[in-house]
Amino acid sequence: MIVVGYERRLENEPYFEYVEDSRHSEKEDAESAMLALRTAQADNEDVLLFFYGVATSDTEYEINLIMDVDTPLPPSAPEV
Amino acid sequence: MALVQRPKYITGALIVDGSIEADQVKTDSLTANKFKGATEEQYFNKFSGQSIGFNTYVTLHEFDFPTPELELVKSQSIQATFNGTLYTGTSSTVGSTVYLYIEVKVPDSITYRDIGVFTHESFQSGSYQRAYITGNYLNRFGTGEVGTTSTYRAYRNLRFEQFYALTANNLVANNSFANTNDWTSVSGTFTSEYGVYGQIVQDATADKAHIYQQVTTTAGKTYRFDKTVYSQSSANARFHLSTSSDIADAFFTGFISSAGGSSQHNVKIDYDSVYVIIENDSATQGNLIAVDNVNLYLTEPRTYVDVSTSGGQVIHSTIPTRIYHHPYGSASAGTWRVVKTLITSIRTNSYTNYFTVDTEAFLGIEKTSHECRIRARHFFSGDTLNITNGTVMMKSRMTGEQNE
Repeated sequence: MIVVGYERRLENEPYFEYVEDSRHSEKEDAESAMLALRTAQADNEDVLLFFYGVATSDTEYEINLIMDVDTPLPPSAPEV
Repeated sequence: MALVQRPKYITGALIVDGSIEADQVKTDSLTANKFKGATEEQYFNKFSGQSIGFNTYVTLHEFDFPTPELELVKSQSIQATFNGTLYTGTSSTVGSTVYLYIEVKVPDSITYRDIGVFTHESFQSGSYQRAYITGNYLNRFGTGEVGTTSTYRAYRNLRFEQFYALTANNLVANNSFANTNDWTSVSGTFTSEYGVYGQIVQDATADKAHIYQQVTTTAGKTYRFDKTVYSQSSANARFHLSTSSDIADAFFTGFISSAGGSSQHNVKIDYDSVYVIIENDSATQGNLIAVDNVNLYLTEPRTYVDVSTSGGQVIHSTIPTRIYHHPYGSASAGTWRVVKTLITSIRTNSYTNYFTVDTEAFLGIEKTSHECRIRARHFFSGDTLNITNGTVMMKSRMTGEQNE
């Protein structure tokens, strides 16, 4: 199960949190969800990075891949 | 008449006073005093001068991990260190956290690698299943996940067990002495007490009372030899493995005192048949030993791993399943794999502080290059961390693995 989410900056300790956006059993679905998430959060200056994770239970996951906020969207991505 | 090309064999040693040139040399064993070419590689990088502001990711160093020489599959690891200074501007103690990340960019090529066929053993807490494969496969794992070619699961508790006892097949018959069958008594008196343990009593002769039975083994294998003595014993006990029914031919002896106890020994047996001998180690008439659970199990080396079942079980409960190592999991090009995260809590002195952050990441076995970077951040609010110097050490090492 692939988890898609992002890391958000906080004002106070611990100064950041990981936000789970969605879960997917197919890699293609996860990539589509990541594209939608990046598009939706494009103007959010508190986003530090986007991530893919691997679920270890219904509520927990391990982050295994990250995507910088300034990584260009692929050409097929919707305009933001 | 058809031309028949016979295989060419050399019986005995071939001695060449020169060099042998070949496209490939296949052999089960190769011994050399010196290898030419970098079978083990180590590369050094250096960086300095970066500043890290509060709660921002800063890339300290970007670099490539070189393709292993000779294009051999090698175990790859990265060690990163930096020395930093932090000026807090106060005489008070400030406590916070510094993060160091080692990251590898996901390549475009297929990245998964065959590990082997695993057998499900049990389910573990927290949605994990425990599975094993016969042999040592530790070097086929690395950072990342495991799964089928298109599924990705977290794993934990990766470990190797050299002597796993196959307890389903006990070579010793009547090992718990339900009766006196299968054992041959020599001197003394051998009885089954209540049908639950064996008793060997010394008689008036000079020979020490003992019992034995012959078992069939496989030469060169290691076996686990279990034995138990109960405390009602009045003599010490010796447990022998022998090439004959004679104790004098024993090649292994285990000792348990009359106080009782159990012991396990892993014994390499170089014979196709051995005798298990239990000896009352007393020459005094009437002294006895109470023995039980004398087992001889074949052992095998096993690699164990717990694989997450979240999202579905990848190793079938009854059918052994081939699994793969995914260094980059559900990766798509353009993402970074965080192969190591080091989190360090730091409490400062007054004003200026010096510290070192150090970590190492194991990438697994590979024969390609990697794009890598070192990043860091900290949570000392309003302060700047300056990197005075940092180093990266990349190591590639042959592991004996060359699977594609």
